[in-house]
Amino acid sequence: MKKLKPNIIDVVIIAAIILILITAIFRIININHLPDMVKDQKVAYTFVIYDEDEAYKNAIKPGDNLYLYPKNAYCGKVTNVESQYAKENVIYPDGTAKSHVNPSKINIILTVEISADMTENGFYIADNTFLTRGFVSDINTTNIVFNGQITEIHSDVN
Amino acid sequence: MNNSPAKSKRKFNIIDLLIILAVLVCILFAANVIVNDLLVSGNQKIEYVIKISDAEPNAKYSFNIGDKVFAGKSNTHIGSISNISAENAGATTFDYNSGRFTKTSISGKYDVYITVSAICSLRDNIYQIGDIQIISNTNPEFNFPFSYENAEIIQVNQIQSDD
Repeated sequence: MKKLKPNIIDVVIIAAIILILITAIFRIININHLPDMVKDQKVAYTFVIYDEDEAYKNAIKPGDNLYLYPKNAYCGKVTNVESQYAKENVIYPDGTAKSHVNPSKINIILTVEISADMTENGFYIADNTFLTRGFVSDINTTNIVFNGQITEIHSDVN
Repeated sequence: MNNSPAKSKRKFNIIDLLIILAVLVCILFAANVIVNDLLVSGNQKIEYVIKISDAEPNAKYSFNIGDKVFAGKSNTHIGSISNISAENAGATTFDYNSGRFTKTSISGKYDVYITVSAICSLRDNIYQIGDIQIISNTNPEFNFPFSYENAEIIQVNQIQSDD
């Protein structure tokens, strides 16, 4: 019987199939990389939305669920909302710059809580996205989408 | 005389296994997509407000209660107008004399507010009509009967759910 020798096309097909299988396995299971990870820790973080129109002052309320947009990855429940007028740098005719309150713009400060797998520098949410201080993303509730940044993370939440 | 042809037995090998596994993965993925679509929340009645900023004076009169609203390249019907209002457009500028930001009216320009009623689905925690997302702080490329500089959804409220 004639022995079939694998050629380059067979190798490419096998490699593609193995890649598909690895991707599928990775998507299905949670992969914990770090030995110092604490699982299912209650985490609280501060998410700041900068320079938004003051019309959106009451757009997010305590109790709203947040999701990474457009991935629809759950990233916590809002427990507190604060807003403050944003400041804007103004260049004067003499070239100096000063910061002034702009009453038509606000910063919205959200406190968000979630149960997540936590490491020293941040935490993983359900789709294996790693959130850490400085993380910038669009987030949405059912009614509105914003862009903002995580500024603080706390793990000693009761 | 025996003419039965010799039957060659085909052995099941690793490549066959890999192909079967890959096909199974593709089927499971397709099933997941289909099931998620079936689980999309049923008809949701919503009311949302569109703000058209700095519009010309005749913009408000381009709309009537009951008119249909369209958006996107596919000109998707995204609801019907239930209310129309307008106010003088304003701007916030810095006054070097007082050293503060102040709000001033823009002469000849108006902010037009259109309230739209629509029936949509709740998919991935966002209200959607076809491929158009109805969510505040976005502009889904409204197709209005006049050119405009800025228009966006500023408020979305659920009125009724059939779930």
